[in-house]
Amino acid sequence: MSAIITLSLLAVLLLYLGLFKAKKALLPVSLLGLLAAIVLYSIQWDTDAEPLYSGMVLFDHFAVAFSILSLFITGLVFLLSRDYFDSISEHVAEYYALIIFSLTGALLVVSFHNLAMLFIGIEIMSVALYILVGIRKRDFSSNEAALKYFLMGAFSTGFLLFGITLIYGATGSFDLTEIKNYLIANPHSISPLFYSGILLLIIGLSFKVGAAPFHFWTPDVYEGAPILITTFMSTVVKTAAFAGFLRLFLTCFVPLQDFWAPVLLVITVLTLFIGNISALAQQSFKRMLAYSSISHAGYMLFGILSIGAASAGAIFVYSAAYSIASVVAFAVLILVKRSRGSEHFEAFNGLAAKNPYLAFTLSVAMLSLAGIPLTAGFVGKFMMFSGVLANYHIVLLLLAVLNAAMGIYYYFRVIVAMYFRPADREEVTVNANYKAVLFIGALLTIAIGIFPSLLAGWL
Amino acid sequence: MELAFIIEKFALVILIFVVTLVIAMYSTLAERKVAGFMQDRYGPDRAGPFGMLQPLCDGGKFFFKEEIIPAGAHKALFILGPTIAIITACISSAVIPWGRDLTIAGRVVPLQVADINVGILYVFGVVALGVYGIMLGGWASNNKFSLMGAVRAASQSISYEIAMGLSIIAMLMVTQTLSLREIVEQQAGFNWNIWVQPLGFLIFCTCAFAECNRVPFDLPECETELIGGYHTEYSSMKLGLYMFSEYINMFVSSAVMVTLYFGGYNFPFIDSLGLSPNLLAILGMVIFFLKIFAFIFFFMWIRWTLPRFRYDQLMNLGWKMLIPLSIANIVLTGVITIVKDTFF
Amino acid sequence: MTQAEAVNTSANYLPILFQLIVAGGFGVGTIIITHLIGPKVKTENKLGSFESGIEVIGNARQPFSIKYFMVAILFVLFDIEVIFMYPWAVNFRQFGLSGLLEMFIFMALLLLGFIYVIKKRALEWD
Repeated sequence: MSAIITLSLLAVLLLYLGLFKAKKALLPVSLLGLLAAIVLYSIQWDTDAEPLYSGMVLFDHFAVAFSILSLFITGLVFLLSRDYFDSISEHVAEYYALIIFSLTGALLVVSFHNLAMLFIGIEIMSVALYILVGIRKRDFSSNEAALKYFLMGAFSTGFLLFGITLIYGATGSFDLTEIKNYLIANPHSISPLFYSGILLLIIGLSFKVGAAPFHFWTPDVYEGAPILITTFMSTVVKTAAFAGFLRLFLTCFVPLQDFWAPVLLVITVLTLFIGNISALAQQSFKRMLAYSSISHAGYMLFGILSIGAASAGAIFVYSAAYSIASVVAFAVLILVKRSRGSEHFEAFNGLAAKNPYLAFTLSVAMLSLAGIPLTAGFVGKFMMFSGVLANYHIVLLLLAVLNAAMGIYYYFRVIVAMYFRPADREEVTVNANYKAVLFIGALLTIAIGIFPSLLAGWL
Repeated sequence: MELAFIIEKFALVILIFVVTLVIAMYSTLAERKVAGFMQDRYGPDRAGPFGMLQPLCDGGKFFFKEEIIPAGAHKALFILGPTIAIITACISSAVIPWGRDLTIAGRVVPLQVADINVGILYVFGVVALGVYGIMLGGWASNNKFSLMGAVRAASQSISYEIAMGLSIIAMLMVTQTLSLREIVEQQAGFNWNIWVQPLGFLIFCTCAFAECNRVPFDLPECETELIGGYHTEYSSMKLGLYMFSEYINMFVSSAVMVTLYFGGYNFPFIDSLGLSPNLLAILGMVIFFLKIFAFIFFFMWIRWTLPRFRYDQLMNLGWKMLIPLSIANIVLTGVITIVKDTFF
Repeated sequence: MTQAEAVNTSANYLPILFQLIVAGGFGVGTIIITHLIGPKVKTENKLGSFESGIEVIGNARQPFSIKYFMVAILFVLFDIEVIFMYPWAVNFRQFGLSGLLEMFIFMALLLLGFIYVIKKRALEWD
């Protein structure tokens, strides 16, 4: 909890740094704050986790691991933000503060032990994002994205809240342990309210993670938002939402698996196909990443579908691999867009000849997203699929592999464009922060791919 | 729920209602008389002795004037506006304790319509609703000046509501209850809250002026800028209801201020007079009304003494002066109380 | 706690309903009466908007300054914080020093937000 308090105070401090025109200090201070939060979490790792504050939050290994992942990815996003935010708006401090606020919400989502905290966490996370998405005030697509995101977010929160209410009606408690005990105590006389509650929660959370058929806001919002905000949304926020999703189902709803698994199965298959097939047709790299993030949501849903002791580890590794690769991809996109003014695949033509370093790191990221062996993405997909294979039909696995093949096609388009399509272009200038992030990202992707136990041992 | 209770309460409600209306009516006369006095002239003196019948004539005229609803107005809301204004003005007095309990034929009759344990919150809730009447009326008129007046009224009253709420918190820290009856009982004799909360009273009083849209805070209806403000398009009794509700609000906020800070119906040496309880209750009520009248006079005195604020000055006073001041007041009250509790 | 119970029953709130009925009856009644007994001569000029005799241009329901909206939003924020303080204020003597310090922290956060708002010139009227 001390980390969450630290972050909240950090955000206030950042706002005040902005007020007193200390723009130079913003980035170092935010990074220091994130580092402090990571340290505070690491200290907690080996202590016995007990629910804190009347059972509101629980900092077990699950929560701490996902929190550190979120903090780390946010740190990468911040490193990329040098020179980026200044060019969009004069309210730079608000960017940092809002991202930190959103991150605080994400940390609550991954460590909740009470449905009220889940709701509060999701709200803190989302409300900050609504503003961030629309922060380019004079840009129509940004405004449209913000409005869409806000309306959809409010709508889905309604579902979530209603689901929580129904579950409260059935069990008389918001506490996860109490809800689990209710299910164990009444295996044959579960209130019908409870079933409706689970369905509504699935709908609400599917909205938040962008799973089909509740995904329709995702492409427009991801495209309209500033690229770094898209990065933050598709990595940290998505990871946190999935962690919350999994935490809820893993702690409470396992005994009712026969009821909700078929529903989730349909959502998963739909998500995979819609995400991948739409991504195939895209001409814009950013939009392709948006659709591919839908399909990755589908893969991560496998982890919830085959719920069990291994699913936490699987989702953790998968989201880590996906997040790191996404950050790298978006970082290169920012640089390319800055030099060519376009987000299309053609903008990447001939990049390898002028910027071999950029092209190489982007290739590593694409390979990881596609799930090629020796990258982190492969490890993630492998852990997901083995869970599915243990629990489910081979048909489902075949569907997943088919989708992975589709993914390889569109991810390789970028690599092909970079290495085999010649074009006249200038060398893209890359500042030290970007170089560092790209290096860290590529290194981690390969390291996890070769030594999966680096991460898989955490959970 | 016995019948006697219902009859008793209805009688009390109607009595208070009539008294409120009469006071509101005669406040209009008093206002003009006070203005005359301050400006060294007579004021109305034609209708009856000292112009005593003037309010009746004014009231009668409201009834017989033509009712105009402008063609562009939203008819339902246009009528709803003044109705809400008068209803909220009238019901806010429900929790004020007018005097001690009377004993009539062995039956204890409290001189308070409703003794609820959230009395202050009730008053604030109802007063806050009052702005709807102005806002709806101003918007429904479809007149630029009305809309401007309504918007000004809304943002002014919500701005001052914060400072008002904060100043009340400091007082609650002293009284430790929200029930107006208990607050009055605590101020028995001369233990009035004004002695312990002078700063709180100043803030509260300022905010009360702003909430009543009285000079120097009468920007929602300042004639020189906005014709008639939010009620530009109103005529006949609907205009009358707005006027009434303003004067009733002034009366009620005077009553609330007396209740909270000036001991309500208490006066010094109340229990050493040796009178019978019923007589004391009535005497207390008389004293209570005298205090209220003093406040109403104070309202009028201010009106004919001070000029109007500019809008930015008004907002600056509310947000940048009163809010920090009232927070400081809370801190001061808290520290002093804790120090007292710990060391004395 | 007999008194607290006594003032908590819904019977204590019933008289407020009586007062509401009386006030509502007065408001509605007078409007109906004036509607019935007042003269009714409607002309086009009389039904138009009154703008001191100048010809009316356009509709009155136009967008107005965003500043009013800012005030409304800030009011919601601050008023909610004020509402949180009511239950504390009523019981703060029982909470003692630690309760006071906790509320001071809460109020410090409120104040930080307040200073931020003022520094951001959200309350400037020019």
